[in-house]
Amino acid sequence: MDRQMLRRNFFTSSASGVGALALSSLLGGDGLLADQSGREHIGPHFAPKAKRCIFIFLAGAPSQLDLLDPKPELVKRDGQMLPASVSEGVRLAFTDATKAKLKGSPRRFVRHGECGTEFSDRLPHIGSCADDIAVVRSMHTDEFNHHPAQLMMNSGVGRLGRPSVGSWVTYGLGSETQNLPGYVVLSAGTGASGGTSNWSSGFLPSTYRGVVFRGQGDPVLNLRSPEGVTKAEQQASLEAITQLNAKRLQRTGDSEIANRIASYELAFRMQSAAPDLLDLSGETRATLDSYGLDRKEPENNRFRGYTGNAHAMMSRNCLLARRMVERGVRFVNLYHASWDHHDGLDKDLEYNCSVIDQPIGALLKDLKQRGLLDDTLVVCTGEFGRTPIADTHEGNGQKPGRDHHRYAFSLWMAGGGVKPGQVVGRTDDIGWAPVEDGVHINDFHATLLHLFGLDHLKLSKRFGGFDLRLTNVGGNVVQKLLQT
Amino acid sequence: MLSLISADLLKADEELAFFKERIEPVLEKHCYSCHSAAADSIKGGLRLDTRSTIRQGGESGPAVVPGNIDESLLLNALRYEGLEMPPKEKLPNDVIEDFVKWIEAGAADSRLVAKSEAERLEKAKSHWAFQPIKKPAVPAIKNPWIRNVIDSFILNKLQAEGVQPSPEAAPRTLIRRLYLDLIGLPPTPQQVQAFLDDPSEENYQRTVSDLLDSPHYGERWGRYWLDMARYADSNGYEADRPRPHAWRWRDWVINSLNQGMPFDQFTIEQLAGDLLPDAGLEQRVATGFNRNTLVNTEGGVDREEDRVKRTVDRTNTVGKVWLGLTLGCAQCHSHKYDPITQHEYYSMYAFFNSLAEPDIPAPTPEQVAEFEVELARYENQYQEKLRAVRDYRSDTMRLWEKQLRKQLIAEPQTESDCSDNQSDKTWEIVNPLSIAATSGSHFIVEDDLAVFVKGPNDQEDTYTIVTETALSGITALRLEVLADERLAAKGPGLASNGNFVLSSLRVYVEPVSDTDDRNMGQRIRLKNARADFSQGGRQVTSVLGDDPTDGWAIYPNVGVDHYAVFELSESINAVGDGEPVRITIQMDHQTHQDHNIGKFRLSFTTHKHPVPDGLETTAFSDLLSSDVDTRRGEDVIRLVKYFDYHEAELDKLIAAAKTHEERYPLSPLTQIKAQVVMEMPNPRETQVHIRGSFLDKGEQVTRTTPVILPELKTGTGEPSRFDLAKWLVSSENPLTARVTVNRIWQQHFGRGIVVSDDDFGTQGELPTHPLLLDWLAAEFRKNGWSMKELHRLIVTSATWRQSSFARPKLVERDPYNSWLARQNRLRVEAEIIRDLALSASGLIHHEIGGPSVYPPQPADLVKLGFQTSLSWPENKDQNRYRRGLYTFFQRTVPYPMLIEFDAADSNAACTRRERSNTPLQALTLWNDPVFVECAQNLGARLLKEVPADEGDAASVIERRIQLAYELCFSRPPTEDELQVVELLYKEAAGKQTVHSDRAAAFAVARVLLNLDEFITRE
Repeated sequence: MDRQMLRRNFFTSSASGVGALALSSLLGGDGLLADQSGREHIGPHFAPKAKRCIFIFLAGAPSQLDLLDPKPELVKRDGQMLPASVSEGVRLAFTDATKAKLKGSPRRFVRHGECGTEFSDRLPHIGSCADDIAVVRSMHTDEFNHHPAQLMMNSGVGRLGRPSVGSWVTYGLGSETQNLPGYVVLSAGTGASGGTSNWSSGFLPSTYRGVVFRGQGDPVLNLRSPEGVTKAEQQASLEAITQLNAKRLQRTGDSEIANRIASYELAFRMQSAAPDLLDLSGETRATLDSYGLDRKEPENNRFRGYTGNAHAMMSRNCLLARRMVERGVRFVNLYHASWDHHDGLDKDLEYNCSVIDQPIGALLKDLKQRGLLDDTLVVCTGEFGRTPIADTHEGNGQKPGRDHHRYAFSLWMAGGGVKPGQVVGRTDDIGWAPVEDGVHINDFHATLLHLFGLDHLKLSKRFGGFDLRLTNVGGNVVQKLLQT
Repeated sequence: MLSLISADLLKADEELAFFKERIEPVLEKHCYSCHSAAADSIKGGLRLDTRSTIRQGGESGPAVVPGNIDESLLLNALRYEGLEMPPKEKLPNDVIEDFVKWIEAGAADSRLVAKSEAERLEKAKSHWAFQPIKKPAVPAIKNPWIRNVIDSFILNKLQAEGVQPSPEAAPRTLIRRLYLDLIGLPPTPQQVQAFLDDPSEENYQRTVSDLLDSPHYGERWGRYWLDMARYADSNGYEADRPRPHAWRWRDWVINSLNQGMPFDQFTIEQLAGDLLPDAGLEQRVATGFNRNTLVNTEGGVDREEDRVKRTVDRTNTVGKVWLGLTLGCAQCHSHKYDPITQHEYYSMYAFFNSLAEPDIPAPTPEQVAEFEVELARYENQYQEKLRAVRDYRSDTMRLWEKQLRKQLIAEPQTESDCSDNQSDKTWEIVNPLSIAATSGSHFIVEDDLAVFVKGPNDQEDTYTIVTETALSGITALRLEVLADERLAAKGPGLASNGNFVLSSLRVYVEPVSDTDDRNMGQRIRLKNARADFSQGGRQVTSVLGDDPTDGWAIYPNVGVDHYAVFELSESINAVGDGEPVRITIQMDHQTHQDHNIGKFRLSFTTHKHPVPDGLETTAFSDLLSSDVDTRRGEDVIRLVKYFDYHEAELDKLIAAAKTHEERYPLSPLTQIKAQVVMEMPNPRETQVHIRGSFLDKGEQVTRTTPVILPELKTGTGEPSRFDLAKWLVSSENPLTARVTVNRIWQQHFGRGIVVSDDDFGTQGELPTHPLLLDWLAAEFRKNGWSMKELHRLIVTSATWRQSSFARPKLVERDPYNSWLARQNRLRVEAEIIRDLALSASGLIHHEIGGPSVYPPQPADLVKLGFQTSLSWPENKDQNRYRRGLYTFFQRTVPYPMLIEFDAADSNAACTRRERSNTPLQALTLWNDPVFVECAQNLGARLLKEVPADEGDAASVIERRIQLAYELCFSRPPTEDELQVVELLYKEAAGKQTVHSDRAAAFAVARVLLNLDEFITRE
């Protein structure tokens, strides 16, 4: 019996003889085979605007007051005490709010584009894309320590064990690529304190967990076949593994074997797709330069985020993100850490912005030029904001920074059906809290899912006796953010 | 007297009544919403709901100081003086006056526990897990399926649900399951066959006993304990330094489990082994449990903060591992759900707050025994060598004395010798006419004719000394190297440590009349060299040859004078009739840079038997002729010295004895250490850390256990860790036994009776079989906390033996298999996957315990660690094939294969691992060089065990595949599987012209090692 015969037999017998459970486990259900076989998904629930997401996470929490939310009144009142009406009952991570003094931003804010949205002078490249961007200045969260807050931004709840946004989206829509993981994580800089829990699949199957692409060596460990094993031999190996596993699936009824089959098939395809993805030789010099791939680190290295290659890594990651979404990766997480500026804020912000601004600006323009921005959602956020008062944290008297602030922060979104060239929400004069259109993280997640054609109330998974969802027990879609 | 006391009591009663009527209701109404345990977030760190917290105060200071209205901040706030409370509206003046009266009178306060906490405590008293463990009655059902009590409980539930249990798994599945569950290794085909040959229940029971007695049982079940103990081989954090002795505790765990140590003793020794009345070394080693915490050695770290973190971790770990409680939640504030107050948390913390953390010498008993054997062997050999020296002396010395005596008579001493015994006459000091150096050194000849060298000492130098002498019959040359205050380390060398290396010494002679500067005359070879001291490995005899790579040195005996005597191969005589000769001496220092001699003096002798001062033959002439019995001790010593000096053969024997001394076996006391804990002589005081901040100390606490649990029994004085450990395993403690049996159950079924195995509190899941859990817990204690008996009970039950086939209808009704109408298929743990591949391929190297090992991993990986300071000294020997649990666990850069398959990260106690299933796992099994090597070896094994000449090609291939299946899955392939694998074999073989079988066998082996079934316990 030849291979074709064997395979045919296997598939015909699958279609007729296998038990209902085995078949549904193999071809439907949660497994990645679901989308690869073209069968039904969990969603979308209605027509999506966004098909892919590049989610840029600035871990440590950048200062919205120095980047996205200009506060002239705060500058005027620099050095004054925080009004008691505000400070009362406030609990900050390190600072005693009742003794704190207001701290204006030394940054200059510049109006960009036809819309005239203001961006800090530290973000000229991102600012130049203002007409494609919607800034949300009225974000707020429940958590004010890094790890819980990072979990909240990534999984909707400030505790371990919940699926991340990327997991939910790939779970809801499946993957559009047969050759790469549906959910990829790239990291530049020093690494987020939440670590791998930020891209955990929680109680969803582990196939929806973010797959980390490494910055050095093989992009994914053990991606290369052993020496002397040809692609054809690897394929023969895969076919035998798939057939034998499928037979075991029939005999045991254990749906986990279907996941195993899917894992091997994806692993095999990744073996050729990942090196191709990383091969930048097809990119023009102009493209490489626009992302700044050859940028060097500054001579001065006294920054908290300094790693020796953060500029080049961030550029590479942004370019790879475009190449990934081009190839159908559903969700790309770009991490850049070290934004926790309790002190030395202005100097460190200069360094960090110089790392991220040019490549992110280039990414937006590149996506737009290739017609990808319409259905690719780009998000850029931290886990919370920073205080309008100086951090009185011990030992930072010389170069004060800002403390953690959960009551108000800013993020921006572009593409993927987001209404561009606008600012949503407003904070009070000193930027303490939203006074207009407050957006809770659950609301933001509800909106993000909506852009993907997913109803956040319907996208759920039964676990521990509850139907759990990304938006936990809250979530309202922010209509102002939607393109009509 | 009596009346006075009752008056006081009366007053106290009145004051309390005043508090209850006038103060408490106000606090409750106006303050508690922000300043009590029940507040969502406690404002300003201030709680007004207990006597201790109101007096302790918050961030600004004490709210109430009894009897002192000025220092009681509460009054400032109520009066709106600086602080303004309550914020909405000032309270009426008469109410404020009540507070003044109350504080002035002593602030009587009956609130020991906050009201909300008291309520929570009351509610929690009825929580199932806090109830005493009573052995429940076994359900009275009769059914042939039932094999032991477990089955009665399980079947009872199944019958209630109207579900049939699954049939027993096939014998081949069962034997593989038994092996994997109990020892974590697959059975060999022979072991499978033996099991099939005797299907009796007795044989099954015997197999279980054999496995529980296997030393691999301790490895298998020890690993689970290592997860809970957050064991690793490095410190963690940025620098992540290795812990070379961590394995000593790991081996204690393996050995204790293998010896069947009861769980109560296992507990006590680990938590308080140092406090046991007669604590031996192994009990102290056991306390290493508490040394497995992360340690931060970064430069800028606050050491006290890090110590507090370790102490917190120790407290939380005890809560999680033994009590199954999330104690950690109460570190910053009283527990939101469980009745554990912050005060109680720090009362538990106090047990671990006074630990000293030394590393003590801890050779294993085997190592001590081994050392003793080695030491005895060493001593024997040493005595042998000393005896050889003694024997040589006693055999030859008498003979030698005789000869010497004869010689003295035959060769009367020269006149000078006879007339003058003074040593300075024996040696004629050289008066240098000129001294030159090849470097920039220059020389100062001092009054005593010693030569002092001044120079850069920056290169290998050669000194050339020229002298003239009229001496006739020069037999030897003496070189004195002299200590001097002016030299580094007082010399005599110029090296910074006072050493030098003289690589060669050349002597040339010519008549003084020869004025040709171009040659130095005839070279006179040296035939013998002796020195008063030579550095090990830099013997003076090496000067005899001209080998520039070797020479004479004297370290570490620097700072004192030394000498060497060089005998000439022929004597130097004056030319003709007393005409002096010119002698040129060259001293080379070629061996070692910067190691030139700093001060020296040269002498000649004409003596027939040139010896150093004081050992001249003439000095012994009287002695030699004297009667042996009349010699004084010191004479004998001098004589022996003299004898020794002249006997080259003896030199060798003495050298052999000296060399042997270097082989003194290394004491394991210095080699093997253990990380242990001890109680500090002066215990620390413990305070509540307000909001978990170690800088913000609140009220003082004493060691005790939470009120919701049975009372801690203790002797006199403050309770100790020993008391705590005993309390954990006391018969009253409702948690430890339940939590422990649930964990063991969880490993055997993939899921605990209580699914939240680390949370038995009010937020945890309820047990699916509460009566079974209690029965098992009671039985566990009844069996003397025997873990092996618990395993036996479980694996001999019909419940455990069921098939794992997932019946579709059953899956629909019970998707998590919580009723246990079947077994679960479980992907085995990361380490066991490695063990399986190494076992099937035959590569595995079994050795129980010892230092952790370094199997191959990508070379660049460890470089990702802190400042590329970590190293991975990959094992080149059989240690690269050790079981997975012995792999060195570097916390910041763990072995990638282990992490990919969900091994514990060792940062905190891990009681339950995930079982993920990812493409990266596929890549690991497929392409990781370790697994590729396993596949190659398994392939080779197939070819070797089924040789090509055993039958026709088709049957050989089939038998090879059969064998591969037996090795990997403990079963033969089914017909359809055989078809698939045969096709793979033939295609792989067909493509190759050379070694085709090898390629085919590799392809087959690689596929089988990648199958789901291979890494699954079915």
